[in-house]
Amino acid sequence: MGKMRGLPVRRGSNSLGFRSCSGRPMVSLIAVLSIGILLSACSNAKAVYSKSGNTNGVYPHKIVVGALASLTGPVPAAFAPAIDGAKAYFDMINARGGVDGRHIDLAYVLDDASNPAQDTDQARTLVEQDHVFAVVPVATPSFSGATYLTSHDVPTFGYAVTSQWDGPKNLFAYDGYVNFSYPDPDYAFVAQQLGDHRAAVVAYDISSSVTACNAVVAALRKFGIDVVYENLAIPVPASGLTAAVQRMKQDGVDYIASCMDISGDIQLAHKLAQAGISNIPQLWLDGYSVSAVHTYGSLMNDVYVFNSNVPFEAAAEYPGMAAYINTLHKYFPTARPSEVSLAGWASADLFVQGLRAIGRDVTRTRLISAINNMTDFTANGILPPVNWKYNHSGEAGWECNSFLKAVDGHFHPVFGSSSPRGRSVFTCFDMPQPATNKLVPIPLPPGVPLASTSGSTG
Amino acid sequence: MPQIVVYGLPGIPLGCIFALIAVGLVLAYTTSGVFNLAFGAEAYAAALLFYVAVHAGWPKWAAFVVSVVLFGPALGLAMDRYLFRHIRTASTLAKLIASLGLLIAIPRLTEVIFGNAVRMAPPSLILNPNHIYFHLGSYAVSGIEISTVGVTTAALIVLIGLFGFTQLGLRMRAVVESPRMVQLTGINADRVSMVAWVISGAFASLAGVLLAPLYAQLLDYNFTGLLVSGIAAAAIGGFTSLPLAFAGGIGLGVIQEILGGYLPSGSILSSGLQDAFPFLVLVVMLVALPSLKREHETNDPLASCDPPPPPLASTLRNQSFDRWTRYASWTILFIFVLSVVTWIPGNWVFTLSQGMVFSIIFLSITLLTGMSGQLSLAQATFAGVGAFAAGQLADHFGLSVIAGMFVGGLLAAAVGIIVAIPTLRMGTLALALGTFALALLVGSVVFPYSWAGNGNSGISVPRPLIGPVSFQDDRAFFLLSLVILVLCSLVIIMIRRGMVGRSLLALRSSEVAASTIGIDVRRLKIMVFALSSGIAGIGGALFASLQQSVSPADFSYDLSLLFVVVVVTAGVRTVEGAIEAGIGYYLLLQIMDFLPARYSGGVILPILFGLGALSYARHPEGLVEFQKRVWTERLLRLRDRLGGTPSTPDSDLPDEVVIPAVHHPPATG
Repeated sequence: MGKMRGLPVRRGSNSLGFRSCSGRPMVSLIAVLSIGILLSACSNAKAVYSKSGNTNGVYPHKIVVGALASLTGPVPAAFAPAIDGAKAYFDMINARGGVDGRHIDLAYVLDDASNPAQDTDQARTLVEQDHVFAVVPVATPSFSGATYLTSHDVPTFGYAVTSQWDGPKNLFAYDGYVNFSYPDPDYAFVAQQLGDHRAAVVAYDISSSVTACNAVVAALRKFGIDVVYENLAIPVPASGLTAAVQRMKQDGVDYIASCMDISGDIQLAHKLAQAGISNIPQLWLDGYSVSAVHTYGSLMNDVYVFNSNVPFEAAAEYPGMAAYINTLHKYFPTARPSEVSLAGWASADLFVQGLRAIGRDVTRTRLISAINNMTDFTANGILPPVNWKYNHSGEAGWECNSFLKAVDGHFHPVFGSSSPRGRSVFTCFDMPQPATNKLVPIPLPPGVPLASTSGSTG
Repeated sequence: MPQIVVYGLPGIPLGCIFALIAVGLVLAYTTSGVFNLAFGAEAYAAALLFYVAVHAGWPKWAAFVVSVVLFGPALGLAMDRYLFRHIRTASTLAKLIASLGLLIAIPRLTEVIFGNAVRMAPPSLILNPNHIYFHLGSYAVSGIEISTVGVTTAALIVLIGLFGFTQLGLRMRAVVESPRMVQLTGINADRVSMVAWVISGAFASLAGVLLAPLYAQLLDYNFTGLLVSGIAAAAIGGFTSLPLAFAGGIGLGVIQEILGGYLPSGSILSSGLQDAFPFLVLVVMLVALPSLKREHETNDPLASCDPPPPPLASTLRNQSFDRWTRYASWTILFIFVLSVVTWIPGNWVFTLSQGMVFSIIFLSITLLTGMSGQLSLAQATFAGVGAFAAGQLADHFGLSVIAGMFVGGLLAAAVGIIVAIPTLRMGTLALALGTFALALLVGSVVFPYSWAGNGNSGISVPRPLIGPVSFQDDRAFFLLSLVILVLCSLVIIMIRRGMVGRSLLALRSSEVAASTIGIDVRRLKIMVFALSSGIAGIGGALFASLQQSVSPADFSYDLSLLFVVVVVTAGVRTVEGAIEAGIGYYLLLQIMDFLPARYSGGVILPILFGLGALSYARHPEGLVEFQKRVWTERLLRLRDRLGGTPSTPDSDLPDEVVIPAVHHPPATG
């Protein structure tokens, strides 16, 4: 046993351990004044964006690109398929000799572990350490690296789930930017097609979900659908849905619009079945999952979904979609077609179309400029044409979507449009909608992929 | 059927899950004094095992046997045998940190073993979860509800049988009532504790397998999130009564559903109250129940005292050695800073800045946990308060980020005081649980609002400008971070060396003894908690400015848990421990990037640090600090052997008072 020392207190220290200032009021005064002067001299720096036109990653025989995705962490690998989609596309292009004699080398795939701080770190690593020319694709729920990539003018392509993609001219969401705050005609359109007039709208109590469903409520009301039940405050993970469904039943709801994720939507479907009202049509914002519809089968009957691309189920009539499915299967035999994988594929296609437009003189500035001058990018006939002159701010003028209905474990395309030029799975509307209360799909705009054609090249 | 019954009925299956969690928690707590925060992680691991087995084509009964009958109890047994049995006499803080380490490590371990695939439609145990089997009045009862209630009832019957009609059950009840008395009668408390851990493990795995099909996807955070409801139910039982905890669980589930039915749909009141309900119940219970004000006593009267701290590496050095290391440190620091501002690539400068900013947040843990022996599981939340305050003030009022940083720090301190006042007087456990619930509540209810963190989109935060000097450049921002880190470190060092530090040392050793020598324990704790929250807030604001955009995901509750285990493993009692933790963690994260995603830093580091935290009871100074001491001793011995004068400790006062060890718990595995 050793000696136990006492608890010494240093002389001249106050209770916080600082030297006592009581005898030296001037010191305190000077300290306070210094802090005051320091704070008064403080302001905020303005962000400086560099327009480098840099050729990092561009070599005589190859162009090096990197990918940034959430591959690990609390969010499961929902975003990983985007990498497969992009790799499959680049493998196909490289097998055909590359772009203007250069192969595309997706040399770096960095994981942000679903952590925003790491996302910024990885974006910097791709640019400053790995010296990639572009980032293809990005697929993450927390794209905090967007600020950095924009400030360094790095061409960036990917799957947009947050508003960071809105605005910057170097960020290209694979299907163009969709402004969730516009009144969304799709929900009202489906209700009208089904003859439903008493709608319920449900969303999670998180801002992205609430913003989307606020637009849905506005659109339903604008087009004469009565929103009799509105609950934009479902906790995550979804709970309390039994009470919500009971109220829908009491209110005589005949149509349900949901802005939750597929997890919450499945619970909603289960509670509807339990309440004996499973035949009420539902339109899910997030539900186009082939594996989910196989798994849940009849529980998803009467569920409608919509998306911005040609459905996988219509591949026989759209060669561009068939090419995606076949190529994915060729290079990744175990991968299933999915919206995220398609986002990777289409992102890679947009990048390559941009490279083709600028030829051998490859710089970031030229690439960004070339893509921003594209007016009809369709990813080889699988998307409605994206006009990149306007699409960074959602002012394209119209929006087209394809609609599907789940029946006994399978999705089937529904609605669609016809024109003298042909038939299409897409239904299109003016965006934003004119002031009129009538919801009428517009004639198919030029360039919208048509069934049984070879599709337009982007 | 009355409407209230229609609303309340679906709450019964949910309540059964809460009840199973509560019973598992109470069983372990009463018999071993460990509040098992890893319960949710155990439940998730069992559910995952069940899922993997069923999807591999196994019959459900075989998957059940493996995941619930074998894996759950085996995990409980292992936790008792290799960890908690050895720290029965350790402080509440040490036990909480050990369970926290497991909570962090287990889900990431499963990721290494089974991968991170999307797992849709977790299978139900016995019946088709979506099939309607019969009606209760107008309420249709589905397979998942029948199986949940049925299996829970069966588990309850087994538990009643065990406790009411077996010798072992009698002993377990006796341990619950009075562990010391039981030991006096010659009963082997270790064996009783072991059985309790086995049962607790079985309950965890059962709860996991039953809970999984309630959600469309198998996700670990669903399990952790429900832990608060289980803890609230356990609190209803005073953390000691199994029947009350069970009833509390059912009651919570039912009331939660009824609230959902009667509150105005879609209102903030509805959403907020539903999210906040378990938190409110927990806080009310912690405040209202007198029995909770006193932590569960284990069989060692010294259990509430921390083990005597071992000497720090810095106290072993003699004057000449100390001088040499000081020169070396300053030289290395100079070269480091010079390198950062000249040649180190920009992305590494950014990573180092991140490390320093996190070091500031980690200093708040040094102050709270290392110096005062308290545990907060909401430090990332306090950092978020500072970050969003600074960002919103800059955005809406054009306030400088530097000024916003101070305001954010003050706001975080104020929130800290509000939390601390009701919970601090009830001890380490209450504070840890209260802050854990707060982190979940604020993260899911408050931060997503546009006036706070603005959901997934987040907010933009500018870099500061001081006079003509802009910190837009990363190297300049690195220097600013360095200055603020040094200032915060100096504050901590001055506190430690001053009266407050000495009082905290006394408080950490024995609260009762501290109050007998005139220390106002409550005031001191609240002050330290506020200061700690404030430092976290300042760190958060600086982080926001570094990143230039932040969202609630940057400050999620799980980061608070990770922060604690990282700092504890590196060294929670010293300033350099916090700095090593901050810079080391973020550097390692970048360095390990070359590994495949499944083994990357984001997966492996939480496992390593989580497992490292298990050693807290044995090495409260931290594993890194422990290694530093070992190597310092080796260097001194080598120096002596090479002909130098025998080393003697510096005659100057050490930073920490060295108290001789009277008892060291054995290895914790």
